[in-house]
Amino acid sequence: MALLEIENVSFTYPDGEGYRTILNQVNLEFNQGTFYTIVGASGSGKTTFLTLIAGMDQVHDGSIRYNGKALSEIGLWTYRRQHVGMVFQNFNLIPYMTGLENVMVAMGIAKTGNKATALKLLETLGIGATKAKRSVRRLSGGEQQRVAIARALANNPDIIIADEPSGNLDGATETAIIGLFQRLAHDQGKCVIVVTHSEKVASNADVILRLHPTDGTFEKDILQ
Amino acid sequence: MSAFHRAWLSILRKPVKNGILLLVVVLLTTLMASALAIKIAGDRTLLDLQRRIGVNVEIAPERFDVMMGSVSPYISYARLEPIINDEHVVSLDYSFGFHFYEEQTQSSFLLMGTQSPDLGYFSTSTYAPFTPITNLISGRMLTQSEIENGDPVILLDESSAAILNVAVGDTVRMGGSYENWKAPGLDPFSAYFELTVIGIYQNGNPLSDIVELPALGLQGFSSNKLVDTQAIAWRMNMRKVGLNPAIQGIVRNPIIVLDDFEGVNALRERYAKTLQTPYKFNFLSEQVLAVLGPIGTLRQIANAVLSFTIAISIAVFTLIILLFLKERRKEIGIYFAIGHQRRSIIAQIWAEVAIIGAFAIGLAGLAGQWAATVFSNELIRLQLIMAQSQKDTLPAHVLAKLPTPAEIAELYAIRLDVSYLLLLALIMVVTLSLATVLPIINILRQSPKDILQ
Ligand SMILES: Nc1ncnc2c1ncn2[C@@H]1O[C@H](COP(=O)(O)OP(=O)(O)OP(=O)(O)O)[C@@H](O)[C@H]1O
Ligand SMILES: [Mg+2]
Repeated sequence: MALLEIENVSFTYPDGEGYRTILNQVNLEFNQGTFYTIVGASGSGKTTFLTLIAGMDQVHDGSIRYNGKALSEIGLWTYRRQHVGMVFQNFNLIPYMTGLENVMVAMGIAKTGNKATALKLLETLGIGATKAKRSVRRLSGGEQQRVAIARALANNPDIIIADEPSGNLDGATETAIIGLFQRLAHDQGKCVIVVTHSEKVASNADVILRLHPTDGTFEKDILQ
Repeated sequence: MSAFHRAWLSILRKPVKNGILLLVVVLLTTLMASALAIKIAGDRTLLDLQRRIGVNVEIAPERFDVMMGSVSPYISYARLEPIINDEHVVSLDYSFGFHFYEEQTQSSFLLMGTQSPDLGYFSTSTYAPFTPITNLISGRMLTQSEIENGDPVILLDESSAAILNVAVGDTVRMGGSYENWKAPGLDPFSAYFELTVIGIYQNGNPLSDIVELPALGLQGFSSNKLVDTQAIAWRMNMRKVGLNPAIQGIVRNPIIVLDDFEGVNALRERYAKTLQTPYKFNFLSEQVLAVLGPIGTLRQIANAVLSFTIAISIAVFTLIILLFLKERRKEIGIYFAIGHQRRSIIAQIWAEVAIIGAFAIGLAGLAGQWAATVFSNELIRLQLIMAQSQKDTLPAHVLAKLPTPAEIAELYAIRLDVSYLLLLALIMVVTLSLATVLPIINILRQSPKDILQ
């Protein structure tokens, strides 16, 4: 059984008089230990799809199951808290907190960690103790992103979802991030789902899902 | 990380914004606190004064009754008896009078007992209520112990002493029955008794005594007024010595002391009908409070300011919190997205409000107490002195219990005590709780998806 099963999921946004279909009868499976990327034109609905699989919005048409259980049955709050970690397109860190505090804010919820664990987690992502205790406003874009990733990992979820994590990072940083996602998937057995515009990120994934700009369906490319 | 920790960080890391918020809260709370301080001081002062002067109800005619013309301040004991036996009555302050003959001359006298070693008590009359014109011309006044023991001593007015041809140190024999004061089935008192004259006084008001008896329906008249302690002892022993107060007794402006304020209205309801017009129950404590008008006024202002400030505060705090939350919509969305539940966010908002509120209570508690002192103390002092002029409407023995303006000002003193701070804290908790209702509803309506837009 796949970790995450997407079954006949459709999604529409109201658009003027009528509706615009973003997702149309999507059927997909996501497994543990796999690094997925989702690519597609801007405005095709990638973020919308992530919102649904991250449990941030209700699925009205079709169903999403985690470990065989519908998200609605698990409860979206519980699902978000325990099973999924999300890295947002614009990081969405709490601006007045330090990197360390941003990670701990997520940790406190499931009571899985403490300060030392948070520091260690940041350390493995290349944020040392000094930087960890600096306000996130005074961190570079790349550093902020790593804090965002650390926060997504804080509760040790099975699923890591990232929305354009390398949007405006330089090549070296991008490479490091790709390495990190690969390790998370292959060494720690996570299910990593990353939306990207970067060919480099896409080509390093195990599976590429291409979202059709108008049909609202995915096309699957298995690379490894 | 606990909600409190997050709240603390949120306040600490946004010093300007939260500083402004604190300032607004402190200003409003100061207003609240000063109103509260004034209210507490006013309540305490009034309570204390009421305790000092007691719940005094005077039964007296309305002095200027158009229909009846002039009315005697005396009421027959018979009418008073059921009232003073009421459950709420704890004691009775009054001057008691009996009508007697003097043995030798057979002149009729109004014999009055007093509980106050104060000639002024007998000086006023229906016709000149505000002219205290009685003074001692020989001998001495009654002592407190003579009053308490009911010693057989007597003060005579100048004209009575002349009629009887007695001076200080002489004795007079009085008693018998006042013929016209008879009721069927009751025996008049006929014994005579001996009293030593200890003082003679002058009553400068010639009208004071002559006209009072006819008003009671008596045929005779008494030009004489005596002050006698025996009459007080008789209040207890009247029936033992064969004296029937219900027949011969009259009471001047009796003041009934009740055990509690609730009793006043009950008493009025029960006995108003049995009182002869135009006699009325005058609640003296009300008069005392009228004298203390400024405290009452301050208390009313404080009450109004307090309720108004609470209402304004709820509105202002609600607006501020809503405004802050609107700005923090994204932050709340992030909390939701990383798995925080609504109650966690509500706890955080509560903690933030509580932290600001606690600082505000500390600062405003002190500031409000200071403001209240500055605002009210001078006003109280000034107005109390003005209020002194109204005091003449009160009987001397009630006045005697009334503290001086200086004492009242001291009683009134605004203090920083625990109960004040606790009450302020309680009011703030309620105010802030109410102010978070709308914001919390607002939070409940948010969804994690909001941050993505
Ligand atoms: N709440 C909404 N109501 C109506 N339309 C919406 C809403 N949110 C998104 N859309 C529209 O749905 C489409 C898909 O949006 P989405 O954000 O999922 O695209 P995307 O693939 O993530 O694009 P990008 O690569 O630019 O991030 C867009 O046309 C967008 O304007
Ligand atoms: Mg997007």
